[in-house]
Amino acid sequence: MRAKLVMGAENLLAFATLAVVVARAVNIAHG
Amino acid sequence: VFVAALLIIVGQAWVAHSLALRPVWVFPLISTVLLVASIAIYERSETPGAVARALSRALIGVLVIANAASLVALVHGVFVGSALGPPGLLVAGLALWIVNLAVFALLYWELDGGGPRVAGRRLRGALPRSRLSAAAGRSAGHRPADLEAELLRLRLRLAHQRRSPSRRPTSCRIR
Repeated sequence: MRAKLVMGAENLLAFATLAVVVARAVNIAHG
Repeated sequence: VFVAALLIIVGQAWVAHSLALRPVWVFPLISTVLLVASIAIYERSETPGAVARALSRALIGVLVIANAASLVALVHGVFVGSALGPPGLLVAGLALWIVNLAVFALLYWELDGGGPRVAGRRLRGALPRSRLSAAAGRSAGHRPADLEAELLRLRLRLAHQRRSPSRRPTSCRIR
């Protein structure tokens, strides 16, 4: 149960970070 | 593990510095103090006690909160504006993602707490003595569990050999 909660928190942070990184990359690519 | 924690703190400090998270020194300072305290307790005793465990969990908690704060700063920098240029923000985001992976790897290491062998030993220690002795009494009249498993494995192999045509004698296949 505890490990599942931790995995959820990790995924939340990791996906949010990746989403921001991808948004920035797309923004750079569009100029 | 301590070296990994130190690397994570350095990475977080760099991300916080590049994202202009003010004040930059708060999270690295708290993390470093907790790390030094953990090392001091670890050096004093062989087995980690409750205090050492609480310290390492607090350290990881601070690292996770610092990561979340850096993420908020990154989102602010990307959508509102930042002193960093677009490539700088991209690199900061990637660094934050890698640091995040490392922090949670450390947390899983801590949760695992020595692996399944130690967890089993802890579980056995938690069982009341009366239940342990009752279980020992029950199993005294039976075969040990590994012998049962071996017997089952042999029976399965025999059944498989009977079913498999390649193992049958030639006369059997001709018929």
